Amino acid sequence: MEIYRRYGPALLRKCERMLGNRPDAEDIVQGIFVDLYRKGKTDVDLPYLYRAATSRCLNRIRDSRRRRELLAEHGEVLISAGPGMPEARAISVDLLAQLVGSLDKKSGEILVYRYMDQMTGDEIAALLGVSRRAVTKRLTKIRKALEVIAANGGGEA
Amino acid sequence: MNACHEPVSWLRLEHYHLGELPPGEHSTIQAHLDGCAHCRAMLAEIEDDARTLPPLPLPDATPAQPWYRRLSILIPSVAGPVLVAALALILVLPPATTDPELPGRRITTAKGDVVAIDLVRERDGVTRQSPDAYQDGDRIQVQLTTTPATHSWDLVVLQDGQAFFPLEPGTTPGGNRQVVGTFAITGPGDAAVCVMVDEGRVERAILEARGAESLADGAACVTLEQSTGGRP
Repeated sequence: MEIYRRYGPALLRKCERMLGNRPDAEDIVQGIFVDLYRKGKTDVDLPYLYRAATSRCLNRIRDSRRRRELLAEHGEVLISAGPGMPEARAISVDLLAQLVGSLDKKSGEILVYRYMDQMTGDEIAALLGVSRRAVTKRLTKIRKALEVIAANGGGEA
Repeated sequence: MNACHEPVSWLRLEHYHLGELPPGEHSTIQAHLDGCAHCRAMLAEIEDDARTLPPLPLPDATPAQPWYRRLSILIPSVAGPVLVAALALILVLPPATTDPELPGRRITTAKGDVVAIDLVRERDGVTRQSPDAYQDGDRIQVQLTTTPATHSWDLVVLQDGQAFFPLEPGTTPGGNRQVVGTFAITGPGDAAVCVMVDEGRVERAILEARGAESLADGAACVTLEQSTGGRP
């Protein structure tokens, strides 16, 4: 399957960043392409696949069991960005697991695009087909959720 | 590492890596990379990722004849009207519960369709069809065999009094042994892997609250005992 060979590695890297482990990332990516194959849908591009991967990874994280496992595997919470980053644009797997529990689906998706995939507000708006203003509104909500977690010392929001 | 005021997104870097960006945008990113160690490091992560893409478990392009169609092979092509009528009668009747060719456990839906679930266990590269036990870390592939109609399905794992949902719910076009997903399994305790289809699907919130009792007859389950023996 040509699109799997072409885009599979990019999706694996993305899912691994979100889930924190390779086997789960492979499950998600394989599931996406198997479903596309069954539907006979092979004319998709990377942004479409990125959205599909984001949605599936978030659902996986929302699953209560997986959420507990992630929190156990990644004990420490990182809110600040790494070196070379001007502001908090990087979040860790465990923080993502905490945040998805307190955000609606669309906000969870935007959280990933902004803080894990490092997209600009304009890129997110174009990807989702929404206005830049709508993205900004969601990002404000996300920052508030981040502040609540930070205020609780990294515990459950 | 120098500060980067607006990093290039991973998506754009992947596009850049694949050579899929329009020339103007490609040049813009190239210029940014020339002056940004942070983004160059991100691109290097992509370029240096030499891990092998796992094989894609695609369903057969020409799937084997499903069990409910094999009956027709028994009927000679010269069959008369009586045999045709008999065949039609056989096909509309629910299959016998002792059909040895139908893999795994099965249910008959409210519409009379038959759905069966079977599992394949993978441990250290060794696979086993229809396992009856698991160890922590085993990977379980879920296969559905259904009558040829589109069925919506969801999978629940009942374990230690709790309900887990390791796969995204989906639809299957029907047919023989459709692989619908794979998940890793861990303890504690024996696990019942159950598929619910169509009207028999129970909301996840209800399953989480009430566990196995909410499944009633609307699911086909395969039980895996937890084995604590050494890994082979």
